[in-house]
Amino acid sequence: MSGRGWLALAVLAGCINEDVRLYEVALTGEVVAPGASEGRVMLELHHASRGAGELATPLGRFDALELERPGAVAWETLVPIDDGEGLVLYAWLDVDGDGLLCGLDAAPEPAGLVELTEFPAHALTFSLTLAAPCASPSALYPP
Amino acid sequence: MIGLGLCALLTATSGLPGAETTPAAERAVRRVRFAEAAVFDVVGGGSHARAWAAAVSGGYPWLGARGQVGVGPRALTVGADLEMARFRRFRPAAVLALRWVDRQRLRVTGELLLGWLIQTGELARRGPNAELRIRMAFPTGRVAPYVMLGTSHTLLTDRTTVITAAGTSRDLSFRHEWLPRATIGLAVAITREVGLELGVDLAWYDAPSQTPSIPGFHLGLAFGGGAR
Repeated sequence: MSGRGWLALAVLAGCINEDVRLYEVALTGEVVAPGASEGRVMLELHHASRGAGELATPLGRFDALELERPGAVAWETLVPIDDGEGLVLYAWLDVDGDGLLCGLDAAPEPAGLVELTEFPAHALTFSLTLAAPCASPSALYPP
Repeated sequence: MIGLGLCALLTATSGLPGAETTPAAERAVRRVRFAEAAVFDVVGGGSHARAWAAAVSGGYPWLGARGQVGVGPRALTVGADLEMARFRRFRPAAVLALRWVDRQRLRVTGELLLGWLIQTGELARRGPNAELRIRMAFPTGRVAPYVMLGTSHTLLTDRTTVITAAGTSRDLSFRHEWLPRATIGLAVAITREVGLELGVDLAWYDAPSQTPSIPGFHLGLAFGGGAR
């Protein structure tokens, strides 16, 4: 490294504040909701776990996507790899279109979750079946 | 013998200190005696050429140390300033000051501080810092009420690294921390060389997005020497 390069490195090392590392992932797969074909699909990407030691906790949402209906998914996202470990995909079907998972006096809305164990990899495939009525991410993970 | 008598006669009839003078003359002498006190240089900013002053201060949350020396006309002054807040925020800086108004009862000084901010802990920050200050002091005898107004700016650099299948890219982005501040206080000259000052510190971290910080206070010891 040249003298100018070392100087630039020294200056940056002394003044960098937030140092964010993002890992690009292309997700392709399918969301299936047996018995329900209409309604928006709410997708959420979570870390499998966050924190360390006594502060370790499962899940941690960092991105979300909405689909018009169940079916094929192609989603490019950036995973903040220093915020947690692992990758979990959760989804639920908004049957009544109110934007809420199983509100009061509402019909049961199916949800599902899949852990993407091949992460870290830049291309991941999945198949997610929404079969658990009114289940939140924390109700489904850890399994 | 004749010399001693002549000296006594001159002393009794002159306006020099030690002579029998009117109360107004005594007050004028006192004003002059402390006009160049080191503590007034510290709170009012700037020092005349070849005079120096230094100060240490402690309080909550601010602690500080400062040294300055006059190097030119109009109390052109250079110096160094170290500022700390609760031992978590440090700002060493170089100081350049110029006295804009230099009257017996009014001093107005502009200061430019160039330094580096290092803040540790949960809200860690670091980056180059510049601060502009206006100091106003109103010396009257041994005391000088003073006001300091400042605007402090820090450039905060963030780095984002994106790791893709094709490779890794890095981008820098920048944020700005603004800290307007004010200090109102009182300086007391014990001697020309030594003095004390007490002040209330008002600061506003991350203005204007955050709420103003609670007021602080400090007590400082100033001393100096050189041509004063």
